Amino acid sequence: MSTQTLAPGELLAAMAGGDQRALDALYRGWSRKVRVFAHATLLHCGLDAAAIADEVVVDVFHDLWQDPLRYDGRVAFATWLLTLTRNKTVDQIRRHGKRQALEEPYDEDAERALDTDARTDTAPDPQTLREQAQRRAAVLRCLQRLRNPFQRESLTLWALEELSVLDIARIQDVPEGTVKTRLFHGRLNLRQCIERWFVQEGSGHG
Amino acid sequence: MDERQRLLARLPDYLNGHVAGDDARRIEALLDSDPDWQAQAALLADLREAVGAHMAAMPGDAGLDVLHRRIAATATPLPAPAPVPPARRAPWWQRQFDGGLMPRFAPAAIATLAAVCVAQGWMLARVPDDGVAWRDAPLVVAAPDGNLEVRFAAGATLEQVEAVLTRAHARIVGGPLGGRRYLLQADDPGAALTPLRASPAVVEAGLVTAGPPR
Repeated sequence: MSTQTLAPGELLAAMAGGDQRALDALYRGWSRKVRVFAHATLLHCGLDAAAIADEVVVDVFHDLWQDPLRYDGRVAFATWLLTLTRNKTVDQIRRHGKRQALEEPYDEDAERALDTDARTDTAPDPQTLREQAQRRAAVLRCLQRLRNPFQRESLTLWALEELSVLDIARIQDVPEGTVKTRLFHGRLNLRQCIERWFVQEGSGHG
Repeated sequence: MDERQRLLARLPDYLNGHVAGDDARRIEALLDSDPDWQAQAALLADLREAVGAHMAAMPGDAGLDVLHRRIAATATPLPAPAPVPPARRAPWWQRQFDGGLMPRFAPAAIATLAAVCVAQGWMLARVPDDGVAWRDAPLVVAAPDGNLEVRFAAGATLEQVEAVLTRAHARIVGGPLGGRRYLLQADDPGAALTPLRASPAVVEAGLVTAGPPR
């Protein structure tokens, strides 16, 4: 049977037997989710989020290779893997002596610079790009620009996998109610940002 | 919190298929009739689509070569053959044995040792039994009253272990049991499992089932 069709638990069992092809299959199936989540957690904390997210991905899968039977199946694999990812990411932030962005002062100049970057980077010629792609780009930009890292994390986790609020609470190690609040306020902030983005987009081209 | 607000907080779970029953029916009705709810659902759908598209644009094996290199670098090398110690002079008894002396005296040596064993047995049998208390003491030492078993992560620091034990209101009462496993006693073992399992310092945690009464 091809390793691509195996469930994570089966791949981990094969890895325990030293099968590196199983590790490759697991990596190809899950590394993108790990990277996107780590990146969302690392944004605005003063580090090179993309580079550190890459390190986190390698760290996570290296740990899995060294001890594949750490996963005992008591929670869904996605929940377990993303919890491991979050722990590794927070370790990286601490290792670099940084704190999560919630505690950083709001930097309006940086925010304006980001706005400009976003428009020049992603605002395409409206005649050649579909509206849906523009909206996707705006949503992603706004998600990445959320100042509250926990709201950003919660929304990213919700969108990455079909996780329940309880799963997200387990990953973030907080009560379920806290996640509901984060998702609620995160949605409000996201909507405001998207509306602002399209107003600016309209004035930029109007 | 009013009913509408409560249901709105469940919308993300509903959209991910984690709400059933009455709440699911109410949310469905609101999504059918209320433009504000439709906008909320559309926003979440946009979010999922945007994150999905972002992920799909990434190569799935980006960084895989780095992982392979790290695995190769950290693979345990084969142990080097032990250096041969320099030849040294054999001890006197070995020289005697090699010279054929010991085999000649072997029957006498064995007979002497057997005689010593018989004599000691006879002496022990003649010692009066004065009822020493320790002879009646149970040989099994009572195990500490642990109600949880955990396996700590290989890289767990003392600070992490101390922090999670404090959160779980637990203390180590036994171990190491091998494989970084320890026996814990928690005030509320069921409740202690949540912080233990959530901690990066703990690989696995489980309740210890009570053994047979002694």
